[in-house]
Amino acid sequence: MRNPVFVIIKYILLLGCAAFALLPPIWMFLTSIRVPTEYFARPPTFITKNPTIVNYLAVVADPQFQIYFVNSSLVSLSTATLWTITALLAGFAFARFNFRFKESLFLIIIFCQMVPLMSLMAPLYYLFSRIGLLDNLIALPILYAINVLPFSVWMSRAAFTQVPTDLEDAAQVDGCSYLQTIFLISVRVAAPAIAAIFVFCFIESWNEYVLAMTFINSVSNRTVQIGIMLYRGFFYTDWGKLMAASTIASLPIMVLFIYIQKYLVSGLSQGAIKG
Amino acid sequence: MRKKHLPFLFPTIAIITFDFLYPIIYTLLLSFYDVKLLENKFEFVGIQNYLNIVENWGFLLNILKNTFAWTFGSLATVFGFGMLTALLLHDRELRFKRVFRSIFIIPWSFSMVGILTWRWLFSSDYGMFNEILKKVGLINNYINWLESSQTSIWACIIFNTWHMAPYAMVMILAGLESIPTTLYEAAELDGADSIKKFFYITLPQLKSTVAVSSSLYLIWTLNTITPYILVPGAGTTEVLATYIYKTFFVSFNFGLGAATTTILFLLTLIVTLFYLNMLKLKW
Repeated sequence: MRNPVFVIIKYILLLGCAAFALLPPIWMFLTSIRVPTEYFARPPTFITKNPTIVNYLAVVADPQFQIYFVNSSLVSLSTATLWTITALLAGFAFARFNFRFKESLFLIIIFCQMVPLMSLMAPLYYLFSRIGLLDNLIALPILYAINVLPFSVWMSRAAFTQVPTDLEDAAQVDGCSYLQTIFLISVRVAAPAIAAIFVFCFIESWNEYVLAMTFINSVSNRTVQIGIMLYRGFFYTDWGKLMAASTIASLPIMVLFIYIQKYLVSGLSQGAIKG
Repeated sequence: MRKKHLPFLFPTIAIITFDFLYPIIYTLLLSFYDVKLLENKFEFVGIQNYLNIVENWGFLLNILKNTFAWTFGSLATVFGFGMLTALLLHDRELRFKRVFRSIFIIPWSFSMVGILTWRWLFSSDYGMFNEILKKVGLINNYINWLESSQTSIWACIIFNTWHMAPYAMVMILAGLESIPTTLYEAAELDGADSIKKFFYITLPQLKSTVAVSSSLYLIWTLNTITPYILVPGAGTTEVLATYIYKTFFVSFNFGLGAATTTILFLLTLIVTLFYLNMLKLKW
């Protein structure tokens, strides 16, 4: 029924777009399995002739990169835990209680996402330098609330709004206390969305670099993103090793991202904003 | 429910106050001060910082020009490419739809790693991007993408097209899926061909989706310092956000930085008001 010429053009376009989307990740991977003589070839060749895993072995054994990965994991996990719980509490209040200024408060939280990061950093930088939080990993989860909290509150409100109040009423009739109702019923029903909030917070803080490069100075406190940004050899940049580290740092995020994208889309299209 | 909500909301309100309200007001105040950070000296200078900006208006004008080229230039390519991929995917008979969709979304998940990989791709001697363009026949000689401000803005736009087109794509795709099929059926009964259907149904129906998502995109792009990370050296494309970042954290001139932030704030506010208007939120 459909014109076969159009179908073929369509698939050619699809493949072309896919090539553009995948060129950097593929080139990253292909560089990561090369030795310097091959990635410093002129002109560059696309196919890797002698694939090697020495770069990966070097990265895994490099104490600096180990520190970066530990730092990033600690920061991302604590950011995700802290702000997921905070967002759950707030989202529950917005979904279940009626109180004065409820709508305005919610709008203020959503509106926070529009605030330029540049207008927040200087005062916090000055304050943190006074109270000893500069160049301190504890500063990062506190700062990352800027990126993750408003959207998480929005997602959590949406999640709890979808839990039928009947379920909660039934649980209370059966003798559950109020807190038991929240934890045994509401949180459990909303679990997939809560997992998405956690993953969202984790990805955002794993990928963050502007705040990390401003508030962290010393090598031992760097996160992965800053570590690879500032990675330089004495005479030249070891792109093979750098791209191996990049591949390790981005693979899990890619998978998680595909997992949560539908939550992002519904949030974005209804007016909550991811920074 | 009496006052039960307060303990639930307290942590959120506390951190919002600490991370947003306090710094915004502080930055606004800073713009009226001359700050010597090392000596920990804050001297009230009135509108001197703003006068300095006005005096060097030509300098700022150039930055603003770059800012508009970067935000609106990339807006066009991001949404153009996003629209193309969304339309390609919006097809019930398409095979491997989920595979293509996932592939198209992948660039969105990269941050620093994506920027670094593009720096490697843009490398003037060993860069794959030049080599591909040459093989395809688009250029004859390698371009020094990251070494002059004329080409570096294109490098920034190419990077952002790659990075953010998935955002435009998923938004447009959601918009496409919400168009009632009855509209198309009615058009078919009236004898419309697919080109007519596209221009008289699809595009008008997507108007609000594109308006909302592009204003969000503008806000993000106005405020990102991606160009500074992608092109740190000589060819830097100086835009408002990167200039402010450097004023704050390279030259540590907090007063001037805060005053310049006011301009960024106003620009963001204009787009935000447009965005809220589009969302039909009433204030």
